[in-house]
Amino acid sequence: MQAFLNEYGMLLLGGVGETLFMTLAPTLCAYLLGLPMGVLLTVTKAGGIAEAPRFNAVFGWLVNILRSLPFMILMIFIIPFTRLIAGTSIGATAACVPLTVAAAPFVARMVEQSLEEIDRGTVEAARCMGATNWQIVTRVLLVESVPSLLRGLSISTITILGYTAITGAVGAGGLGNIAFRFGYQRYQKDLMYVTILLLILLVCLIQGVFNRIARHADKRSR
Amino acid sequence: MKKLLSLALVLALALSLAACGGSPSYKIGIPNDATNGGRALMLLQDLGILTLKEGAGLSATEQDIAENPYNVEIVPLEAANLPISLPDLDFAVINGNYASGAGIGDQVLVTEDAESVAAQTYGNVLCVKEGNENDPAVQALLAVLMSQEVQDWIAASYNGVVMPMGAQELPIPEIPEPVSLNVGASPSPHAEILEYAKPILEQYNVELTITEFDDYVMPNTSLEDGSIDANYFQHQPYLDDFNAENGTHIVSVGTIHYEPMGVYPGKSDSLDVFSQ
Amino acid sequence: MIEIEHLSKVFQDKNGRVMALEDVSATIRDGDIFGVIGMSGAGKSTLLRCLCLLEKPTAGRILLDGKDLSALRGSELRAARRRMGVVFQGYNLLMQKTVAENVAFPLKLDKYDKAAVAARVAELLELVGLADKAASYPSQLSGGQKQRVALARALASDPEVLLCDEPTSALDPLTTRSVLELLQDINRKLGVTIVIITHELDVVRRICNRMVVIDESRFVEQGDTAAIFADPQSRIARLLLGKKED
Repeated sequence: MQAFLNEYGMLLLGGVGETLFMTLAPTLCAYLLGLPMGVLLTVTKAGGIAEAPRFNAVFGWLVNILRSLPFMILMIFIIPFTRLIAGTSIGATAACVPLTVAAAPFVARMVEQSLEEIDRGTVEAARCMGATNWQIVTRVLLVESVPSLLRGLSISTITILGYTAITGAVGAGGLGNIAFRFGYQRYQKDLMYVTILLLILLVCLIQGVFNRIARHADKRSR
Repeated sequence: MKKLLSLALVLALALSLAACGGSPSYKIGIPNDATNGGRALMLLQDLGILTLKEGAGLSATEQDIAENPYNVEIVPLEAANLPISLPDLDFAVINGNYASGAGIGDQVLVTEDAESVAAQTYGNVLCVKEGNENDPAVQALLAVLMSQEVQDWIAASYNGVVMPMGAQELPIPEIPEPVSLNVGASPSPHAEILEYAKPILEQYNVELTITEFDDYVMPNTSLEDGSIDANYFQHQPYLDDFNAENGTHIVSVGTIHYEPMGVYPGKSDSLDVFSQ
Repeated sequence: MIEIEHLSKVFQDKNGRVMALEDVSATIRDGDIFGVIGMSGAGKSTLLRCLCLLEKPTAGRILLDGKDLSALRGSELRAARRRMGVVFQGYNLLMQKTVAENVAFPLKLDKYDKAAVAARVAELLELVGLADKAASYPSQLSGGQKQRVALARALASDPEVLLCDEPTSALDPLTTRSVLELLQDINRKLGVTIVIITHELDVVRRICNRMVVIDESRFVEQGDTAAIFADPQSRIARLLLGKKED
């Protein structure tokens, strides 16, 4: 046990840190991009408060295309763009660029779904009260959908955590990468099990925290 | 509740920043898979850039570095990704076929030596079924493949992606009557090398038939059941595994060529920086 | 005063055209409590939605004090909307906000003074009898209480007209009575014109002074409630009031 920690302790600690960084930072950025994207998808569709069917169709296609690209391919494909933004194409910081680009469309669809769940009547009431479209978005849509958005956040974060395992291809480290390279390829079973355990703990932690926050924030179950 | 959240966030950020670490002087990219990663590190060791722990061998990882006098940072990446990542690295150790595919084959600074452990271990071997090692036709083929002429041709034809093990003068047995020899091989470079050797072998009364295979199982099973007389497509470690897994009795009679890894320039273009 | 002039509304869906309202006309005077009665599917909801501008009329006009509502755009439209308060059948409250925040919603759409809004909210909650529920969430209230919150919210911007869509259909008789009393109160005290859409005859009889009967997209009878109840002319009114077929 002691020998294991001596040999792999730093590696694992570094792995946890890299995985956390590569999960939290892209999630934040993906929501900064994906939230407005999701709002746009919702309000411009037929029956939405700012109907624009052609825009909605084109934008929807763009989102679908980005979502269809396998992450590995996307990561390699946008290397020049990554270099532009991060200054390099390798390492954990650089990996955040493709992680964000892959996650943002996913987040957009999750946000769209959360907003779709809102009762049409609530939006109509706001219109009748003379609210502008912006006010409807910020004071009705994004307010009533908070519990659903939080649950979506939980799903998105864990999805992004899953993607981080693939970032080993660009030298980004992280727990998934350690499990694959050392555990699987080099048959170091004990290291692989420990890494998997750490990943399970991380996922449970994230899921648990977000669920609690969502429950606490939902005023419908008081 | 909010306090707990912000505390957790700070902790997470701190942990992740700690993972960033300091900034070493040179970044050298290596393949991140077990086989090639180890080869790359051994090449760097042979060049005197770093030293690996005792017994690390061909399965070494960056965790096995014992001495790192130039403070290089080893960056393991997907092997096929190394060429495209060169602008972000100082150097990279890349497989010949990937470098060639990316069009940078001629930029190589140095490759694995034929004497190196990697080349010796992963050299491609000519194989026969156990018991046929001394067959005259097989011995003739081996001698021709290891001749100066053929080995030179290999060196000149593949731009460094395929390298000869080194010419050897081997005795060519007398073959009074023409005999046929059926050899199974992968299309490139193996079949091509055999094609080159074919007219030479005719002079020694050996009629060479080359059977191309696209997979890595059939050449061995065909050899085992006698459909072909010899094969030329695999390296020794693969052969050993195959024999163990499948209970076959195939042996190698000689190592013909190896497909080396090389050091390619990125942001830095000369390895002289490592001789100070 | 609201004038409905030859209003028609046609809906187009994949099954064809649906005529929800066909050439309807009526006048709602200031201070009226005006009832709109009809069976389900007759066109009542469509009428309300046209009145509060959620739907654009296919033909005809709606005039509020002489101004054509369907011709309004942008800030003019918003100003007109503020003159009408709407109480929906499903209440349509913000579930994630408190009662007080819900009532304050329309007041915060323009520049506002915090203290003035707080005072107005308190005043409105007092009026509907929910002063003690200011910090509660809608999920903690009964149907009748939610209706009152919706009412308070509709009155927040000091509207001239209150449009109510089936305000008591989901309530028990006692709660219904108290809501109707409240509406009468508001009409008397604040002089607000009230338009009530309902299928309940009782509601119309109790508080509406004038009414219109809708049957299959048309206004088949309109006038003083008392007169119609005494001597209904249209087939559907006669049916509803239990008068024998002659």
